Amino acid sequence: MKKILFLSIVIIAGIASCDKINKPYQVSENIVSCDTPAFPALNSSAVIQKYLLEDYTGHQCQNCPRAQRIAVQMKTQMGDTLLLMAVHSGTQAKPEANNGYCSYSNDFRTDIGNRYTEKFNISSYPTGMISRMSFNNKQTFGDGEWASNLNSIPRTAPNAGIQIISIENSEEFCIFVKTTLLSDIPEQIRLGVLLIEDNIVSPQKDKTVDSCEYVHNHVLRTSIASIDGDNLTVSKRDDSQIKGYSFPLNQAWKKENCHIIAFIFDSNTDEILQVEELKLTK
Amino acid sequence: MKKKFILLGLFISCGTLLIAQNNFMKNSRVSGNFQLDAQYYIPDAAMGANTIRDKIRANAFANINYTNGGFSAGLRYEFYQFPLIDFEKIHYIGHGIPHYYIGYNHEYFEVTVGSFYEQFGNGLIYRSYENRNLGYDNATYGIRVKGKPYKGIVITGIWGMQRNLFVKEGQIRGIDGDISFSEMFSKLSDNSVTLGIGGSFLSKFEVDNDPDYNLPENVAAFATRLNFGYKDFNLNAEYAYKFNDPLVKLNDMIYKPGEALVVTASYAMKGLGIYLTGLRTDNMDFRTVRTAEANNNIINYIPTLTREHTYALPAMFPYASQAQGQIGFQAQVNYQIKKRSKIGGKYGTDIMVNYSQIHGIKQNPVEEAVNAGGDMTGTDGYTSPFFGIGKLLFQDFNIEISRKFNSTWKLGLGYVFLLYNQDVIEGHIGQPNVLSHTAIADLTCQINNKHALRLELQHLYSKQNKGIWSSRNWLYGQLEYSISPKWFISVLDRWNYGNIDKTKRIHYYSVSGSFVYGTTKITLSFGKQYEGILCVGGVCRAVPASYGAGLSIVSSF
Repeated sequence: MKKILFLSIVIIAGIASCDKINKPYQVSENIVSCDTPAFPALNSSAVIQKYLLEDYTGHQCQNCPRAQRIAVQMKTQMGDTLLLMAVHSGTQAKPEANNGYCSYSNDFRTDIGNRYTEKFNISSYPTGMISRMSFNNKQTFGDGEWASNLNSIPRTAPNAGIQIISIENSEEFCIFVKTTLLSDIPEQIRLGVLLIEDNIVSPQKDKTVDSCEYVHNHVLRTSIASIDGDNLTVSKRDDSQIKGYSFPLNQAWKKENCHIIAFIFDSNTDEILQVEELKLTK
Repeated sequence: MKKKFILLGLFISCGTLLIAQNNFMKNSRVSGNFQLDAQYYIPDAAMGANTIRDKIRANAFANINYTNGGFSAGLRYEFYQFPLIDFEKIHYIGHGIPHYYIGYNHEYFEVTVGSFYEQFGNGLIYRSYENRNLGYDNATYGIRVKGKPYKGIVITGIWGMQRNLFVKEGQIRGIDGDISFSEMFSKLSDNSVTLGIGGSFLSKFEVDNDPDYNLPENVAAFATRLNFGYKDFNLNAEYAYKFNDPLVKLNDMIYKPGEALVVTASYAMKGLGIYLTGLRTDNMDFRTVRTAEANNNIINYIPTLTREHTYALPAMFPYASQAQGQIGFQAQVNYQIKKRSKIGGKYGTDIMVNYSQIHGIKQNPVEEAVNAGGDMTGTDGYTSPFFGIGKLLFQDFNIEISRKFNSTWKLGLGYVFLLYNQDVIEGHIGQPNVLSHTAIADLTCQINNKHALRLELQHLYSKQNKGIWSSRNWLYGQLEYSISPKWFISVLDRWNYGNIDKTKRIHYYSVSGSFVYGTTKITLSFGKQYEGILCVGGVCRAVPASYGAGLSIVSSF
């Protein structure tokens, strides 16, 4: 009898949870503290199709520096066409003060990185995605396939151009992103805006020699847009839309090393249709 | 000496163990059943039966149950890897052991772990059940505890996930309490009074990953019910309420709460039975997954009000219960004209009259929705006066008279009028309501104790089309011959002779024969299956057209 009573109490406690949502039901739009600037006219013939290489990594992952070297090599070959981003996530990105020769006390994991890791089911490191496109029905793959998969993409004219303006406004930054369609995009598209940081000196395990002063580049720091991107209403050629954001910069991040990455993606497939990068400060 | 004592001890222990094991085995009972439904498909473009490249498909499953005193365990293996095309259409594809459980039943409590089927009240907020013909199985995986602390009181708690096709999804937890005062107090039952009340709560959990809306991660629903009976009269009522639960594909992501009310009253005496039921549902689609559609991830059950016709032609127009909004009633009177009377004849005459009418509910969009050009997404949706009636969805008037003339002949006659809103019920958008009149004759000749012949004739008259494969008038004839208890042979033809497209005036014929041996029944059939809709208890699925030979084996042990 006592057991039944106990179980009943446990069950009642479980079901008692009910979330009553009050208005407004929609996630509130970011209030931007700066006026929307005038964007220069987009020269559509000068727009090039760009790709984003997302490198899922961790500072205690011994094979990850190898992947980063491959990414840098690809960037050297592709130039502005390829943008890099390192997403630290998973158990090998956990901070650990005294693990061997170096102290891995820094934590580069982020909410947005964790969300991507879960969403794209990243379980082994290093793993990457190229503009979240599928190659042989795989969206994620090891560093050995990065270059060949990137080279296998048929080069087509870009279907959108992205312009970014960054304004430093006392303690915070205002970011404006203008998306202009160069062809019709019938699919529902969303805008992702991320902040990455270069030149972070912090330990990194390496299969050859661990480095206590490894230079981490392109490290994902935060999402400036909503965590799953913001809805865009453009769909026809020449449609354009400006989204604005403002955010305070974390004191630990060096603004001169930070970049903004803005990308539009198909909300059904997550494939990135265009991506652009801008230094946070001039 | 010490060794001898040890050996003696071991011998006694083993003996005791053997006796216990023997008793244990004596109480053991293993039961189960097996079913195979196989079909060989022949393409027939004229009737819309597509080419099936692998030609043969089958559904098979087997249940094995073990009981020993209060202990029970069981499992079901399902092989739907290459399923009948009906099931392929609803993505019921896979194989494995999706159903397994262990339970213990005691005088005061009952525990089940694994998969189980359960229902709170009428099921308005929770019902897990299976129907093999529909390809429907929303078993709960988890734990169920039933407590029976006092005579007439039953408390049931459940916690688990939900079966959706071959995967487990969602998180649900709930509790139900049932109090039967007539069991508690014998004075009530002594005075022919039955009185009981009940209440239930259920909550589901789903992570909010939506970037645009703040969604409730925990959605709860509750229901209360009453059962009252006095002598031949019985009344049953249940009211359910569901808190805000925006669903992507089923309610336009509105935050309006849902509610449902079902009231049933019946009166029965010798030769007369009266049955009345009323139902109103408003935004009561309850799913474990917000993006669910069709028959997937359903937590609750909204009963249908309408008669499920067993005769083939009126059964082409079944009503699919509209959890999102419906209001209606059903009334039925069964009367038997006295035996050995002038009108009733030697064996009496049975008359059944049934009527049901169902409307959508009236919806007044909220201001935000009006301002958005009627788009309710992300608003409170609409308000609806409780008795506000919307467009007519379904209307059914039917009468059946059956009479046994002598020990050989029995005749049943029937008439069915149906109004069928195919736009809402089947999604044939913009198509007009179908109005149909069906006449039925059902003649049985009981040749002797073993042999019987049955003839069924039906004619359906209509001026409308339903979808593309049904148009206007139909004729149906079926002849059955049975040699009890082992043999059964049937020949039937369903002919859409009135189809305005002459190429679609198809004979959907079928020949079948069954043989029963002990607890095993084997059926062979050959013929054409009309593309339509199959409903059981208001839950429906589309049935594709098919042509070919079928084999069915049903066995139990």
